Amino acid sequence: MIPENALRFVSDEPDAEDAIYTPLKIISEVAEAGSTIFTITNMTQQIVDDVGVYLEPTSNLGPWDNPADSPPATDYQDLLTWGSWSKHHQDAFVDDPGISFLVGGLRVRQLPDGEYTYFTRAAGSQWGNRIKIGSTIADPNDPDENLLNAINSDSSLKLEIKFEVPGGDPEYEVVDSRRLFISVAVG
Amino acid sequence: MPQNFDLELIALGPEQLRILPISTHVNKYTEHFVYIPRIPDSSTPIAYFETPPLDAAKNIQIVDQTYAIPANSLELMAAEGVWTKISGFGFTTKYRDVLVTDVTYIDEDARLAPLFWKHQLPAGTKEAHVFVIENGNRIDIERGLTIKIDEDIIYTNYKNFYNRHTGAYRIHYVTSVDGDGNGSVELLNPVPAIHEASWRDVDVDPDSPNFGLIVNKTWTREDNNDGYHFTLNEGVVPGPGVFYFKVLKSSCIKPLIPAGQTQYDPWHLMFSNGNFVALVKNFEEDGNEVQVLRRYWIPEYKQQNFADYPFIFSPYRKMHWVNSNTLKATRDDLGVEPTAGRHIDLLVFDEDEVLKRVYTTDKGKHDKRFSDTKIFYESDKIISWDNQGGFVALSVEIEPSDIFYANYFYESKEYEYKLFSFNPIQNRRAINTRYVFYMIPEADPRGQEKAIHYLEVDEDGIITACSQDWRMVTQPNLQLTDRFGNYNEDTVIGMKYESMVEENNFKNKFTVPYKNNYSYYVLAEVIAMDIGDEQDATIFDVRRDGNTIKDAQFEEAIRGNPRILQSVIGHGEDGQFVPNNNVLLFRPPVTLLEDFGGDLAIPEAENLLKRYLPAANTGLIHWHYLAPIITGDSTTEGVVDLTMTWEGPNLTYNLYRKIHKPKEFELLVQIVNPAEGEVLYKDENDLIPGKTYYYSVRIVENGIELPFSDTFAIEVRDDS
Repeated sequence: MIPENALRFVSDEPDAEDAIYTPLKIISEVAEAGSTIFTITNMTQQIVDDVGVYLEPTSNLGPWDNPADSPPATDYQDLLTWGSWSKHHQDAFVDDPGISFLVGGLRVRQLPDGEYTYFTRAAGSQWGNRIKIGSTIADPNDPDENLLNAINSDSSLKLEIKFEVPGGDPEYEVVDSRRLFISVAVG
Repeated sequence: MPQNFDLELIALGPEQLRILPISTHVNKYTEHFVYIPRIPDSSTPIAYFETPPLDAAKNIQIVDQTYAIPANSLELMAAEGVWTKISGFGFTTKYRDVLVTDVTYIDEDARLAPLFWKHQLPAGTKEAHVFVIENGNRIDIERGLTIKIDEDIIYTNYKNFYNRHTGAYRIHYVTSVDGDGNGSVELLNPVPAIHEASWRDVDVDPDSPNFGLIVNKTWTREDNNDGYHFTLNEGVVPGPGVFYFKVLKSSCIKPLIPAGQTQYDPWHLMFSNGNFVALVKNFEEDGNEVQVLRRYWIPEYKQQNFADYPFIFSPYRKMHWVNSNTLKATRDDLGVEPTAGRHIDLLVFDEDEVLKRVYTTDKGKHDKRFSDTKIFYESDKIISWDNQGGFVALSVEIEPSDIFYANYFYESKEYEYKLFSFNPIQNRRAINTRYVFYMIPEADPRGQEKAIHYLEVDEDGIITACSQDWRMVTQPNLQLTDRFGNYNEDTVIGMKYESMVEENNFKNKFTVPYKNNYSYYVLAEVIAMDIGDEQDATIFDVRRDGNTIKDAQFEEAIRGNPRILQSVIGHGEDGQFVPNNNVLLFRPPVTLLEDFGGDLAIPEAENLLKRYLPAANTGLIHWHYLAPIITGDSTTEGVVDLTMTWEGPNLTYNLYRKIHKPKEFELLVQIVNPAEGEVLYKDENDLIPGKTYYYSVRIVENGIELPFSDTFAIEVRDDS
């Protein structure tokens, strides 16, 4: 019986440095209502770099007796829409706290002191524009180079993902109560 | 390769306040069809099915085969009006049951005729009369009646009569007054005029000169090889006298229809407990024929469940309503005798089978609670009974719609074959299968040998079952296996029951009058049949063509089961509208729109209506409102007669008119709350003959004017 943290995934060729499969173990804990802390651990023997987080439509539609209200594509698009509004209004009306009714959506930050970043259409909606996380680590093979957004072997980093419902002005825009299912990918 | 994790996000919208009118309530849908006698409130009745109930008298066909031994047929000897006169001490006969009397009367042909039955009047009676209540048929009973006041006895041949199927009855009542002026009315309760001597007729007073002798007028019987010998005792002073006797049909062994006659009772065939000796043909080994005397009797009769020989207690048997004071049991020969402890309890149920009252003859039970109900016994309501006819008379009126059951003792003169029930509800094998009942001679009661047995014969005439098993003492085992399960060579299973061609059949090998030494006696062939005819059944079915739910109950029916709306009955012959090509038709009422008293603007309303439409479907919205249909004619110059359909109470009809199509309508008249029926209006206001006018109606409901109805155009008559 191999203990879990003794799992190693390497290629057969002795020279290959790349892992065939880069498993990252993700454990979550709930911090407060509306946000969850995820611990991402690098289970391989190599440094994993260029790590980012992005959203995908889920294949999990919830429990059989209480399924999701809308198709996964709808939930995915809605979250990106809210995130985009929030970012736009945050940028445009940064000094005017009056227009706070559109701020909401899914945000992510790296603990302990990262900044919150919204998942928008431009950032975190697919692998190509994933939101980068991790830290800068020196490349063991090349001392002059640094690996960006990397997680060291056997070490972990913590992410906080926070969700807020966009507050609506009851006269114009109301977001109905609903349940959304989204898949967050780290890679 | 990226790792995924799935998040479930719960978005709680802002707090909102809406007032929701609750207009629906939870129903339970109909889930299955059941057949029940009464409809509970939560169900919707759909079909009613009624057939005539099962009745043993109609559904069982008994073919009486007892003619095979002529001695067992008393048709001639026991007929009405036939008797034998003897003078002497006694007589001998082949039969066991007789009626004996010495009282006679002069009948209408001026002949002397005996009276075999008597009715015991109350002690000290001074005057008595017999009167008859009858209904239905004219029934001719053997005439004859003599009242002997000093003996407190009425001698008669009258019997009470009731026909269950036609309801015809003839009941005799005896009114009597005794010396103190007390009157009584009771049913005629005939008992044999002279009865068999028993210990009660022996004088037990040691000081009496007749101590140890039989003091009442009775007869005694002893059986010998020739049959039975009857000796007559005329009481204390013996002497030759003139007697009349008559053989009773109960001396014979005959099959009788079951006592339980409804679909709830078991149908046990009954055989009268006869006992007779007959000469039958037997064969010696050399083939010579000899006449042998064999006795046929039913020993298992004595093994029935007698409470007090010969009375059997029968609980919960149905009673029939005869008239407002009389009931009849389903059998004759009751044994009601309160002085001997044999009481009758009468239970009266109303038509919903709820217990109403309990009557009894047992004074000790008076005012005691019946079981765990709220009903108490009443012991003073049953006033008289006729044991022989099975009638019970009450002092209270009883309704024909009530259901009656009784616990009583009856005098069992029959053997009830309880091993087989012909009721097809209880025994599926009974239907449409022939059963042959036969008996063996000289059955030996020791060792449990039974006299009466049956064969089951299938439609090809082959015997498939037989009840004569290894317990037989004097006769062979005829079943398929012997006691230990091995094949029995003597078995009759598989043999033909009767055949004109094959010699090896049951009748030939075993029964009289064929060439064998067994001399089994076939009594009856019985079939329980399904005689139901579809024409006799009453069927009301909502699902049949042309049937529909009554308008008054329609709402209730839908409330009980909303799915009825989707049936022919709900949506009509053409069914519900289901548009093709992914088009859905909405017909919302126009009163939702803010122009007509609602809250929504048209685009908002359309959005809301189409909100949950699947993306592939197109929704068409057709705003629906009350609008009459206008027709009319113009038969007089310058006058137009309009007829509008009535759309409901408390409505105002705004009638508009215009002369040119493109122009606006102008209000012509307001008709306020017209009466139910067509709404008529005669327009004579400035009509130009020869011109065409256009009419339309806007109905005002609750103060809101609904849109225009369809336009009706008419050309005004021009006589010039």
